[in-house]
Formats: sequence, structure tokens, C-alpha cells
Amino acid sequence: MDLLSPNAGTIFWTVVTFVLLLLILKKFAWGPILKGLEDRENRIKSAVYQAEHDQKEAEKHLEEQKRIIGEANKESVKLLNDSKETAEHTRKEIVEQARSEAERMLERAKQEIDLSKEAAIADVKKYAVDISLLAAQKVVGETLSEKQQINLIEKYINELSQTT
Amino acid sequence: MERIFTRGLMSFLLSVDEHGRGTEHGSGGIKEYVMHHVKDQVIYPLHIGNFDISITKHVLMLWIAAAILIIFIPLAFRSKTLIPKGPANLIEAIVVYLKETIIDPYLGSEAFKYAPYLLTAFFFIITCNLLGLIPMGATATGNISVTISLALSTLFLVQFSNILKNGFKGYIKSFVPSGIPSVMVPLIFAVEFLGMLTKHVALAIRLFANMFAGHLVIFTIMGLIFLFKNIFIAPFPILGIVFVSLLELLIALIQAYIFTILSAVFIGMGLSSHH
Repeated sequence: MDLLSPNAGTIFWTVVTFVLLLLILKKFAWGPILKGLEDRENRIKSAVYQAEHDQKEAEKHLEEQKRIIGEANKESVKLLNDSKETAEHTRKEIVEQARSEAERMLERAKQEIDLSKEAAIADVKKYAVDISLLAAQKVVGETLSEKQQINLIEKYINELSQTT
Repeated sequence: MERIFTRGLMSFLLSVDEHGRGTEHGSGGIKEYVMHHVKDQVIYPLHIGNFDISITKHVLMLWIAAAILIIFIPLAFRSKTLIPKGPANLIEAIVVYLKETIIDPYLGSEAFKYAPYLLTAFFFIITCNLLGLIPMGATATGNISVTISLALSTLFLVQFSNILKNGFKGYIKSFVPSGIPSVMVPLIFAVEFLGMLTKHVALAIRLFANMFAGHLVIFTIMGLIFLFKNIFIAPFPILGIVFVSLLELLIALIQAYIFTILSAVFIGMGLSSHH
């Protein structure tokens, strides 16, 4: 057998072996392996796509949550301010009311005092008149009857009208 | 040619006398020893009519390689998991590498059609190459008949894929660049056709020469031990053999890869042959 001259028998066997090997491996090895690779590639692709999609979704949700929390925060701050304002307002109102009430009471007390004073003064005056009348009676010596009193008054009135 | 080649190598490496004992008549000697290991031998003579289809050592190695592939690849992938483990992972890594560096870039959308051929070629060649490095093994790809057969397979595949894709007219046209004077057409056709054949012949010669030369060097260095017949000399050839064997391991991989990539390139060129 020469080294560099092709041998027909070997060529025949090589081609037969190679072709058979190709057919067998194509069916039992490369087919399933390549299909497996493709399947996995597709699965990874879809998984990556899904993950991206999920992440976007999550980000959207997060944004939404943040927005809601922000709004709630604002809302609570507003509520707090409102209630503070209301409380302040109410406080002022109550204080004002209390003050005016106190003033009114003071006023009324003053009026009552005045009234009492006037009454007292009137009483004193009446008492003084009575006393002076009593004293006058004592001075006159007799007590004028009611009829005499009326006559006296009429007499004074007449005098007054005559002088005028 | 074989004689000149080997004799030149022998006299250079071993300083063996060109007319040394036994070199011509095969009664021992270093040349006989080396040739015994790199040359094919008939194991079982077989004839059909006048046609000699004897089973030789290299044919047997081809069958062993084929059997290894047929048994072990489906065996590795018998459990259908999404992510392969162990041997299946190794095979898959190689398949993915070949697919991404050779098959997809050169064949594009038609990759799936030719992937089985290219993968088979790669795994078959590398198995044959590696079997040659195992003691008692022989390198089938160091046999010119084997590499010619593999190159012929690629040659036929390229021609058929070209005809199927571009039609017979397109196939003929692919050998004649457009825009040349009609007088030149026969000449250009002949040149282009020869060029195409040469590429495929080179494919056969390249694989054969690389695998053959490596083993020739290994056995030649090993022959030094028997030449010197001195135990203190033996370690040096052994170190040399270890080094060359490592180199061979690399070459076994590279040559299988080169055969596959060139096949893909030729098929791709045939498919898109619009000059």
C-alpha cells in the first residue's frame, strides 16, 4: 500500500461510514441537540422578555404607589393644617365669647349696682320726705287729713295758676 | 514520491544510511518500524469481483470512531433536561461554539440545513485524530484515502447545494464572472473549475499531511531509542515525544476545526455565487 496513492477500497469504506454516521447522528444526535438549543434559546428569550415586561410593570406600580403615598402625605398635611386652623379658630371664638360674656356680665352687674343705687337713693329720698313730712306735721301740730291735704294741694295749684 | 520523502526525512533525522540494511526489503530497521506504524495494513482481505474492499487498520479505526460517536452522543443526551450536565454539556458547548463561529456566520439562514453535515465532519475528524494519539490506535485521518473521501463529500455537497439553490444554469454561471468577453468564457470556466477543485484537493492534503507528519515525527523520535539502544538516551526521546504529542493534540483540534470551517466557507460561497 503506497502512502500517497489513494486506495479505492478505503475510499469506499470511508464514504460509506461517513454517510451512515451522518444519517444516524443527524437523526439521533444533531436533530435533538439543535432542537434543544433552539428551544432553550426561545425559552430564555421569552423569559428575558417576560422579566423585562414584569420589571416595567413593577416600575409602573412603584411609581403609582409613590404617587399615591405622595398624595396621601399631602392630604394628611392639608388635613393637619385644616384642623389646626379650625382649632385655632374655635379657640379664638371661645375666648372671644368668654370675654364678651364676661363683659356683658360686668355690664349687667354695673347696671344692677346703678339700679340698686338709684333705688337706694329713691328710698333715702322718700324716707327723707316722710321724715320731713313727719317733722312738718309735728311742726304744724296736726296731721292733715287726706281731704285737707288734697285741699291744700288744690289751693297751691290755684295759687300757682293765679300767679302765672 | 513516498520513498524520497521518507528517505530524506530518515537521513536527516536519524542519519540512517540511505542504502542501509533492510530499508529496501523490509527486514527490520528504523524506516520499517516507522512505516509499520503510520501506514495502513489489511486486517481482513475482502473482494467483490475485482474490487478490493479489504478491511484495513484505518477502516477499523473509522468504525471505532463512528461507533464512539453513535453510542456516546445520544447516551450523553438521553436525559432531556433544559440545561445539560457532564458529557452532554461538553458536547453541547462544542456544538454551540461551532454553530456560532462557523455555521451561522457562513451559512446564515440556511445554517440548519448544513449544520448536521458540518457537525458530523468535525466530530468524526476529531475523534479519528484523537484515536490516533491513543496507544495501539492508528490515525485514520493520516491516510490520504480517508481525507480524500471526506473532501469528496464536501465537494459533492458544495456542488449539489449550489445546483439546488441557483439552478443548473446558475451553477454553471458561478464559474464564469459576468462582464468578460465571450471569447474568454471557456478559458475562465476551466480556470475557475480547476480553482474550485484545487480548494477541495487542498482540503484533503492539508488534513492528511498534518496528521501524517505529526505521527511520523512521533514514531521517528521513538525510533531513536531503538537506534541508540542505550537506556540513558531514552529519556530525551520520551520528553520529545511528550512534547510532540501535546502539539499533536492541538493539531488534532485545529485540523478538525479547519476542515469544518473551510467546508462551511465553500458551501457558503457556492450558495451565494453571484460574481
